[in-house]
Amino acid sequence: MRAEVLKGHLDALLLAVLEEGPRHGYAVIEALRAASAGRFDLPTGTVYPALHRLERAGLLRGRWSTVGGRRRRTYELTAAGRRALSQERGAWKEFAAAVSALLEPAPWPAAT
Amino acid sequence: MAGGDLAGSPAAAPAPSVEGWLTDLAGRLAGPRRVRDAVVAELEDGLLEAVEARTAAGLAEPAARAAALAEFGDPATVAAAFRPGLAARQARATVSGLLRSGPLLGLCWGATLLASGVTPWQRPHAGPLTVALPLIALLVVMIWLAALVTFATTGRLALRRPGSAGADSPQQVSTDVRLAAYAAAGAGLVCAALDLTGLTTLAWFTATAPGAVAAAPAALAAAASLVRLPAAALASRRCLAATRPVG
Repeated sequence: MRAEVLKGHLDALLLAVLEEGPRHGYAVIEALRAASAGRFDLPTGTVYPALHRLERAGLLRGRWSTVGGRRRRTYELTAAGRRALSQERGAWKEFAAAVSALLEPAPWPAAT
Repeated sequence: MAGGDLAGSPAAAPAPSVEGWLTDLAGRLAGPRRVRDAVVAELEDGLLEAVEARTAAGLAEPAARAAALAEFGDPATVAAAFRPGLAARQARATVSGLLRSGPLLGLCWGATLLASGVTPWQRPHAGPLTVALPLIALLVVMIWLAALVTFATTGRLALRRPGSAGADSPQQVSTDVRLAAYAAAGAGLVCAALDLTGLTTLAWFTATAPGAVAAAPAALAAAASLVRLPAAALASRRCLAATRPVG
């Protein structure tokens, strides 16, 4: 699936992937890919800058650590991030229900 | 043509290196050095993770490296994606630096005035002070307004505003970030004008009323302004450069 299609939902997807616990940038990309059975194969140039933006917005907290001699930045949800994810979930359910009501064929009336 | 597949063809080229990719990326990023270094370090870890994931799956190292680099994309595209965020960070860093230096400079010039006993209402030495002091006050207000614009357009509230997530793209930084960059660049230029006003006033006093100005604080204030003036101008240039398309 193309990154543009996901543009409006990227923040919610990233927050959802980090709900289970802290992850570094590449682990976020892999988790998105795995959870969507390969459909959300987002490019590096989309995921990393979005993580930085969410951190600046106070929805994620980034921490540096050293793993195997390498510097690693790990992200986790803040309290504001959890609230934002909850709001995004609610908005998505409303949107999906409305779209489904329009797109899914209505059941045939039962024959009398 | 058969000859096209011989030495010199893309197939014969050595596998690209992670270091080369990172160097290329680093050369294309604009913004505060500390942030740029952090971006490169983070992507280095991600790239090496991607290589290790492939070698663990059984791929040979050169093939794993080539596949990981292909997954990360070309450095120009990645650098372009970081451009809006780095431009915002550059604008905020510039304004923060200017606001931190302001009180120090104000203290130096204020001490010069107090030590010299020169005030705008004091004749015959009032001279350019009657013009310089209101001008300085106006410039300081302009700097604070520009700082407010920069912080407001790049702060948490702006980033959490609905629709802000998709506002930036590699081709076009958002209006907010562009406004922040222009405001920060403007604040830098106004700071430079402020320093120039102080230096010009000092030069006038030195030329027309030798001995009227306390030498030690005046020298300190002049030195501080001579350091900040080019630094503020350079910071302004960096703010504007950070919004330009990645080369």
